[in-house]
Amino acid sequence: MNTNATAKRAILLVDDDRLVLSTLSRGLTGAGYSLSTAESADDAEAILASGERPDLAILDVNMPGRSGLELAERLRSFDHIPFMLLTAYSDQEIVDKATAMGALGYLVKPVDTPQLLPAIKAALARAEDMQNLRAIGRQLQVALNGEREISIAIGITMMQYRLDRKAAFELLRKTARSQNRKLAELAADVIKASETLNLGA
Amino acid sequence: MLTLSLVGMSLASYIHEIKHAKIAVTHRDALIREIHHRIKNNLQGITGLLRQLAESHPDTSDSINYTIGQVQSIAAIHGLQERIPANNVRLHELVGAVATGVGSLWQKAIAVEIPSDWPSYTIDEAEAVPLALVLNELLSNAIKHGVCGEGLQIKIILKHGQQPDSIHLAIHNPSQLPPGFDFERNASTGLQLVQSLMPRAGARLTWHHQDNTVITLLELEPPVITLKPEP
Repeated sequence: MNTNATAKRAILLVDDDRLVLSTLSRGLTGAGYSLSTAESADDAEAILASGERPDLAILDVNMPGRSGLELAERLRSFDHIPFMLLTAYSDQEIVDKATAMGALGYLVKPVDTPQLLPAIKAALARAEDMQNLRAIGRQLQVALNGEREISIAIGITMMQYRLDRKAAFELLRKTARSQNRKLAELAADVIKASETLNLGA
Repeated sequence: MLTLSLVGMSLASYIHEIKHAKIAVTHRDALIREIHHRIKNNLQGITGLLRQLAESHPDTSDSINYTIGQVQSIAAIHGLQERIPANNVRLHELVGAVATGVGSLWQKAIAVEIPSDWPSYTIDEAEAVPLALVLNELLSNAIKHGVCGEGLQIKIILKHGQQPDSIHLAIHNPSQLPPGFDFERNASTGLQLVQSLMPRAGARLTWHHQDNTVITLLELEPPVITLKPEP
């Protein structure tokens, strides 16, 4: 087993059965994961409240008190922590709910460590893909916002200096270069200055 | 009869309903008993297979016997519930069953001392299997590290605790704790399992030395155990 690849991956395992919790957590620790365990949804929330951020949560569906599905909803909405579910029965309704909630896997008990490892590996890979996609989305949004501001700043420059579009862009670009700043930053300042002037007018 | 007439039920049909409900309860109990019986038998089948394996591989028989003990202690829970399915497992019966199983597995007699007027404490359903495994682990550990000799024997003593409804389960083992023994910090694999299986509330485990004897003290109180009035 390649433990290096999994050495830093943290898993939160939540199951009300202490024997399952104990044996699976030992198996996964042996496979190189860093494990936190909780016996209930409330215990798991206390762990998350203490600041722990696991790479993946594995949740038992049927637990006394709040179910694994309720905890999954919180993980999805507030913590953005990927999760997979463990359950005693292959119940279509729960499978549908879990899928709709974005579960990265659904395993029917009894599960043993060797069965769990490939499912965890796949879930962690999907979680990483999703995280990368979210990061790309954020970068694209920043870029789009920047482009939009540059276009507005070009428009303001065209109006103020009575230049055509190409000349206004060149002026902004040269100014940014001479001030050793990014064009998007300069554009934001131009818009701000223009707004201030308009407010004062 | 006013109440019956209000719900539109005659006395005859009321009696019929009661009888019907009683039969349904009897059937349900019989089914639960049967399920526990089958689980126990299957677990015994597993221990039988493991025993064959241990016999054909004497070099690994200790490790296999260790697992047999664990499976046996879970089977003990089903064996007790097969007899009284409607009730939770009684503590003193579980202690007796696990001690007998561990004793016969390792060929060492374990004395169980329970006061004659010991009341019936039942174990919370969710804690029964973890507690059986904890007892199995503590007794197996006592046998593994105990000193054999004339008149030396492992004893389990059940006593009432200082708090009302609390009990002390003490395992007396003619032995010595290893130097620097610390359950919390450097437990062996078996004791790590005990740590992870101990109930989070209503149970405490400590070790003491007294006259060349190691006393492993398991203190139990509600919600792990409940004092059940005798019928």
